[in-house]
Amino acid sequence: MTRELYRQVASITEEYLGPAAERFISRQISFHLDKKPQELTADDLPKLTEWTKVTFGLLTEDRHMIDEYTNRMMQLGRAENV
Amino acid sequence: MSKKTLPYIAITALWLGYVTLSLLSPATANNPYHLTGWSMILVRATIFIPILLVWLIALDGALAFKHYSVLVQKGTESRGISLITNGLFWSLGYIIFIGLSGAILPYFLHTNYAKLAIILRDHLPAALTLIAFYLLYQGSHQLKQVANFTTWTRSTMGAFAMYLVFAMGFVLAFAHNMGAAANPSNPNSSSILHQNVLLFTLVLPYLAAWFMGLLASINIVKYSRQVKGVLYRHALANLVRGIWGIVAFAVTLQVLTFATRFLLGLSLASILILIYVLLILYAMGFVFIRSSAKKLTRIEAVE
Repeated sequence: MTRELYRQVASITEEYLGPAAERFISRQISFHLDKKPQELTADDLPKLTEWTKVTFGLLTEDRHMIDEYTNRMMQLGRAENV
Repeated sequence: MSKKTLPYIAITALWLGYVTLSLLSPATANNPYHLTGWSMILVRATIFIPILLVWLIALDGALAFKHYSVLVQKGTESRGISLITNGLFWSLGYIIFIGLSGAILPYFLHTNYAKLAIILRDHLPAALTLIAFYLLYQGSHQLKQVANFTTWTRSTMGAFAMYLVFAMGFVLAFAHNMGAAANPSNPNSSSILHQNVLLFTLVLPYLAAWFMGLLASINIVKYSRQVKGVLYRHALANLVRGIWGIVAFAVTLQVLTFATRFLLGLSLASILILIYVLLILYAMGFVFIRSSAKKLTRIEAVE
């Protein structure tokens, strides 16, 4: 399940960062959550989303894109918790 | 001396060697316009500074892309990016060689090595370009593992048809005009090697290299349009411009050099202006590549 969640997060991120997505998400998880990517759980998603929102802000000034990405990550978190 | 500054120091040292060799060049060598000593030095000096800047800018762009390629060496795109990086360094080698060879050749013109030096001066740029554009093409081809695109679409066929017309015209011009503008003060390989030999050692390698440069440029455009990731595609935009700039510069410069040396006899003023334009194009290509590499590196490094 956790591996599947990581795959879904990477898949969403890939639409913004292309082939860099998996490396980006792996760095975010290990750096901010102190976990291995495969250990990602639904409970981690709010914190991960907050950090990726901050990090995305360093890559683009497009607020609409940042909000869109954040919303998709939060929707994923809600779906996982249902 | 830090490891990062070493390549810049090496390039500057090469440039100093190039300037010294040019300024001390034998007076009888390559002065078809009968310029006086000081006029010749001034004309050459207007080229020296831009050449240093172009070499440094090109090195900076290639190193920035090399830095990015190291960051993605475990990714699916790593093979393609690595080959493109090598292609950029061979392109840098080409532009350095044409500067240095022009400065060194006059010293060999009245020695037993004159013919060898002339043949190397004429052929090594073709070999360097062939290697550079082959690597760029192979790199762009490898990127198909990341984004699913087809090289041979209708637009590529159209570009290929136009290239075929150009290539046939180039070969015909070579066949009919070779040696017509022979200049004893500026000797070339046509007075040493037979025309049929030059067709296979010079003309066809250039045509093959230019064709691969064209395909590499087309592939990079297709990759930048097909690959996933809106931010990634934005970062790639300048890589596309950079590759196009380098290929366009190299092809135009080589056609011009070939025509000047083997077929025609253009005036010094028109050659100088064109050289400036081509140098700017070349440098701009690497400026774009540096910009793209910085954006791509930021994606890989941000935490």
